[in-house]
Amino acid sequence: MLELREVFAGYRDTGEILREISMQVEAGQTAAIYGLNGSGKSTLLRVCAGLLSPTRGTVKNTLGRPGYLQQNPRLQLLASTVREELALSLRRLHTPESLDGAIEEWLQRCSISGLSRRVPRELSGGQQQRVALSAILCRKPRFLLLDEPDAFLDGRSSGEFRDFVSEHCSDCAILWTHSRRSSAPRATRFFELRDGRLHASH
Amino acid sequence: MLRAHDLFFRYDDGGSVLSGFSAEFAAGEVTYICGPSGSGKTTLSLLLAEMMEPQSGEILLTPDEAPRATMVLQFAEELFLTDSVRLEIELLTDTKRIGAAHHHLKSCGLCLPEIAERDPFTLSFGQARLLAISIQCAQDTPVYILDEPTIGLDEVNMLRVSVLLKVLISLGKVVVVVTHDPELIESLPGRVMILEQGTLAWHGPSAEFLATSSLRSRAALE
Repeated sequence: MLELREVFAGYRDTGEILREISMQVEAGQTAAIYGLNGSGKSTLLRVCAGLLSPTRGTVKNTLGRPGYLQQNPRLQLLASTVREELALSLRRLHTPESLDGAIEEWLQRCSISGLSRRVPRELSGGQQQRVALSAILCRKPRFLLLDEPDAFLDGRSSGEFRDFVSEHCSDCAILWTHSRRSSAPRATRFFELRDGRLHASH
Repeated sequence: MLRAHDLFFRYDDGGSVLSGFSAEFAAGEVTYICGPSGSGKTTLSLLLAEMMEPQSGEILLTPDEAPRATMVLQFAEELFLTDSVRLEIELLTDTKRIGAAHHHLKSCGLCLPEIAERDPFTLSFGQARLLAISIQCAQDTPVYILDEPTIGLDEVNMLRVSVLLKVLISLGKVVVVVTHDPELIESLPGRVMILEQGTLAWHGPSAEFLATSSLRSRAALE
């Protein structure tokens, strides 16, 4: 479970961006967080990821290290092929002998075998999102932070990405941000971040 | 009017991107170019802006003027050169263009005195995008081509871009927008062209496009 209790947070130059945020997400649940550009969505995800400490309040996380998918997948695709991208994630969890088998298994499991020799940076935006998320899923996180994952995608790719998440991430606790009402994900609960505060919506 | 006639283009590394593309883009109207990824949208926009030359075919503007086109690239906010908003605008050098930039900023709801001394890279994502588009659209050319101007923008900022496009249209400009944003198209009616494998697969009024599920699907909007 991830629990935020009366969290305040911000940066040195900005003062408090988040005020009195309380929320709770459990495994298998998706919390959708809507907010305009600059409303503090990414700051909230950084707090949930443990990358930014609250100035007040507490964050309790019993789910371990989160998988964090950034808005622009190009920023987190580092390898020269899709296969190598998964290897970067899997190397720490496997011996050299079992690595190849694990890569094959994950390529298949995430339905990206067809892309294995492609250069991640040359894929379409939707494919890049799937590969970046696959590389995250290899580490078997129980908790995912998806920062406006379809802001850069067309409607079709965005639908495919939703199907991918439904199929592969159903056991995870998910925080999913979006900046258009029309791009709300399938979620258990809906929130709106406005004036630094989190409001329940829908 | 801007006319593209029988454009062929391929990149050095192989695949043909545009094959026999012909179309007309009217002045005083917005034309949206839609289509699945890889259909040649960005290539077409670069050709229309004369940033690349087609291997064959031609692009005609009547009445002709030079320079013809202003191109606003994707993620225009990544291209600032100076460390203040004021200096960034002054790069336009000409007082008439600087005036146009101020006018555009006002149209899209940015208050210049509040941000003039800020480093453009410290603006919020939405402000930075609107600033970049306002400055680039201050060039006085008969044609404006924008590649995905609303990508990543929330609905408020998307509508501000829409207002800016409307200003250009009211000045009688040819405005071409590559987009996959149905809400932008809805906010400012015009014509839609669907590009498929480098050719014009469909064109018509934006209202018909938005109302027809099979067309939206062909353009990969759903």
